[in-house]
Amino acid sequence: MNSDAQLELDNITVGRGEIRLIEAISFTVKAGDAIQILGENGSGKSSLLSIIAGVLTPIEGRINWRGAIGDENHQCNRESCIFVGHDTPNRPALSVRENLAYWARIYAKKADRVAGVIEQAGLKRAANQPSGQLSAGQKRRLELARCLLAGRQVWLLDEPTTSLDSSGHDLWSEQVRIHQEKGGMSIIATHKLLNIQSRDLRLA
Amino acid sequence: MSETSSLSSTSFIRAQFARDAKSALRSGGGWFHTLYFFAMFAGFSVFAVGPERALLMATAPGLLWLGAALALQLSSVDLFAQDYADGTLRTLAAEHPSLWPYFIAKFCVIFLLAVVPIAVLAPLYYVLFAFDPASALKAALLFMIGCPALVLAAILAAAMSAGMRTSGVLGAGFSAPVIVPVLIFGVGATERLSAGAFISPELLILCALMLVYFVVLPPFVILALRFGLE
Repeated sequence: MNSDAQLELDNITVGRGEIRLIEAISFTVKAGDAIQILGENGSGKSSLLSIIAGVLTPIEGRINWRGAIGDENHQCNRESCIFVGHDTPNRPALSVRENLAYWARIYAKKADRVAGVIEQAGLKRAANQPSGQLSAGQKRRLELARCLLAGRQVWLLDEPTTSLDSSGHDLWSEQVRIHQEKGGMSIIATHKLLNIQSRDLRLA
Repeated sequence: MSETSSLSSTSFIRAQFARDAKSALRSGGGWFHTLYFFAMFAGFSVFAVGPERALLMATAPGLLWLGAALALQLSSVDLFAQDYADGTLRTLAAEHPSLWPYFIAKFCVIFLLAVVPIAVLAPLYYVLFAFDPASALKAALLFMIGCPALVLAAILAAAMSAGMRTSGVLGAGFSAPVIVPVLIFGVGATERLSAGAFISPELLILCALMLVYFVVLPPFVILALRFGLE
């Protein structure tokens, strides 16, 4: 992980159509930092994460990606990010192992890492099960496995622990903590705080 | 953990292709629908036209090209629907600098699972439409040349309907202006073939159309896909 990495949100205004959800928010995330964003449903948490991920455009403001996670114009180097949304980007007809093998190739990682992350995410028993047959909680664990597989510096997590039991919640907390210790950066939209050292940002 | 990933477009295309092909083959035979539709359309057309040899030969190019165009359109209407629904497209757009490899992989999957089977089956139907076997094989070769342009049109329609969140069948209408020239010159080239000339002005225009589509259409497809994520 690169210790010079820094992500700056500069007066970002978030909206959906005509509605302005978040007015001029600014914060900085450095290597080893985690920010947990709390707020009611519809408060703009997911939209803010999608803006940081580059999928949505803000109404106003700018995001600067500095150091190894950005380029010379401080635009995002997409290959430094992992984005966990509400959905599970996996093919239901393919097994857990096959889905992760796909992501391993997409992330240019060796296929032999797949077995390790399956175990870390607590999915060993379901490894050969079609992902369409997984429970909602297991699907969130599969997303954790994808994060671990990618080994990227910036984790953008949108409600990663929804539908998870307490052990799954603890597992995510532990892995985000380990990620921080290695110099990773995490921005987490959540209703239930992870047990990590973080700054908490409450949206109105 | 400090390893950096450097993904080549080729690896991305191969990974996406393998995933789409594997899930298509496992998902209840959906990939077979294109061929099935083409076979039904062409088979019924033979009976509808009747036994008169001259009429069969005259109507074959138009009917078989139309059958291929409709089969490709109908089989591609939901091409991107699953990737939108399960978040794959959002994830790829967030984590990768370009969606080009994704587009190329989709094209390759349709070409392999739809165009190739149609081109393999087509000679049989041309023979049923009173073509001699040698001409039937050449006519199938014309499908291989012209159908990639139809695939691009189908992908454009699928991307636009997914991006605009309209019905997939309605979205097929978006690509009509792109399909019509391919039909005109594909049918024209096949008619010339039945008159004894394989290389014809129509064939050359068909090739040119395909090349132009390869340059012009993909950026619109990617734009439509990104628009759909907003």
